[in-house]
Amino acid sequence: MLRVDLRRTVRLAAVALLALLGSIPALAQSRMDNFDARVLATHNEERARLGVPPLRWSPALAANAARWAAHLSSLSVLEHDDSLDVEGENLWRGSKNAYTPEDMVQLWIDEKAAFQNGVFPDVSTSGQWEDVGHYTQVVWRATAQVGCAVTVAGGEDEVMVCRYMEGGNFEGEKTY
Amino acid sequence: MAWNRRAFIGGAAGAAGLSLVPGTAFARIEREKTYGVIEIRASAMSVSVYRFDLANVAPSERLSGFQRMAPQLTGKPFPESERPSPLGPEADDARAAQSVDIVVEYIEALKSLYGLQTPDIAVLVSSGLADSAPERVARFTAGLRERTGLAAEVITIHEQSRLAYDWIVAPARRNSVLHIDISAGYTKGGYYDRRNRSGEFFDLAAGYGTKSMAGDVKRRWPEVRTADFGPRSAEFYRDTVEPVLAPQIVAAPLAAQRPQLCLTGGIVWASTVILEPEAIARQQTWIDLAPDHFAKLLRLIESGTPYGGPLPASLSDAERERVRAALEEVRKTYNPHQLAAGAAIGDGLSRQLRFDERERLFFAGFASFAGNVWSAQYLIEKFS
Repeated sequence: MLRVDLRRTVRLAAVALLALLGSIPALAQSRMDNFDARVLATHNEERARLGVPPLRWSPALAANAARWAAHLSSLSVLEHDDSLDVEGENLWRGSKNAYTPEDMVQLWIDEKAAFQNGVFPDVSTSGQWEDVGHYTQVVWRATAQVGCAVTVAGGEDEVMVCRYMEGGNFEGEKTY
Repeated sequence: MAWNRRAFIGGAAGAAGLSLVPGTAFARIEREKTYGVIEIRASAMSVSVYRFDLANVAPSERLSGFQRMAPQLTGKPFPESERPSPLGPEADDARAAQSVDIVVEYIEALKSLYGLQTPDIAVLVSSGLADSAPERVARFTAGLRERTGLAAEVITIHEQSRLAYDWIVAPARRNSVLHIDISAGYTKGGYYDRRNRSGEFFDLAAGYGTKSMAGDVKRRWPEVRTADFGPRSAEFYRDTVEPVLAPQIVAAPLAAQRPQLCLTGGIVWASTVILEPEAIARQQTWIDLAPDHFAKLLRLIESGTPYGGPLPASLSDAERERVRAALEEVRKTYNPHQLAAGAAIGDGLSRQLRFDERERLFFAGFASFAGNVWSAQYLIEKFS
């Protein structure tokens, strides 16, 4: 007569299920999947924390960003697009394959360690607004739209360009 | 004009009798000779034109390669000369297959724009690239020789260190100076042992530099943030870089005994701009550094101001503008994570190489235009 030890069967089934789960490839998103949504969400999480209205994604700004990113990919250093008027611009450059979209924006957000919410350009405890200039653009209250693009650059780097409408960092105005 | 890194580089090069500006801009030096160099590294390719004042380049016991060029500031502009490497890991197979065409195009441009002949042009390949992509480099060198007759030369890390040393240090000072360069992908340097007749050059090298180590640190600690990037980098240095250098230092005891330690490389330039703005403002050729120079930068990064605090009140308006321009170049070159990684390398070296026991620790600022130090010395030796 077959004798079934129910508790042992359940235990073995649980072990088998865990083994099966362990053998299934991870279904987590890869590093750059859903780039647009993740970049936007990282901006908006920081804005929400401060009570600043969220940004909307702009495909047109993203296209502009992609064009400038292609230009930067052949340079050894970053340079801003001097032709910009009302569009704002944040630039990021770092090691290829090491940063997620959230990490890239987070590097800008980390600048808030030196941020003070004074009237621009009096926004940095260092006395140099450039030290927090990416962060102030990320959370600039009057900015409503963002579009970004990332590309591979020389020196085993990646470059991300974000464009903002309207751009922030206006002298005489407060960040939020 | 603003005195930034580009101008700094170009000013040094132009006034040094080496020029990186279009030929028409430097027509008045007598007995001049112009040479071109195409340098292919894993990360990039650079194309430069150097003008030699033949009156100054004769070998001298008392002058380094840089000093033989009688440097003065001129502030001439330095054009962007970096290009994506046609042979590095970023280049796909199709681009690698076109590498000979790409380089031949630059050779033809050097000839038509500067009136150079084929023997006046050197094509140099870094050994890092040759090690990482030997088949690509072999196909490229064979193809280039077939098309142009030019032999591309692979320059080893040892030879790069030796050339950089001779560019910065005069032969008469070889018993006094140890040189270390912290570049984007390598930390390397060395010294001469003149106890034997040949004056053998000993080098130290680790395949970790400011930018490559920043990537390594981020990959090991994906959640790392700016404030703790320095401590994580220091940890990485201790368990990964330090063991690479330690046996080399043991095997080269004179490295510890050289009374002067000369530092070069992008992170040394960047940290000097941040920590020694007055010296940068006054355009000093040699800038003395404190033994805890890199520890100070790590503390700044940890406290949220990686690029320093308010500029000193002692600076004049013109000096202040120079420093601000240089700081802008630092920001465009290094993000705070890369600054932290580079600072951790410098700080680790300060313990391994006992910066505190040296009579002098200094940045060879004016003599070290980034990336072109060893190739400049190569040309002096090849063509003078």
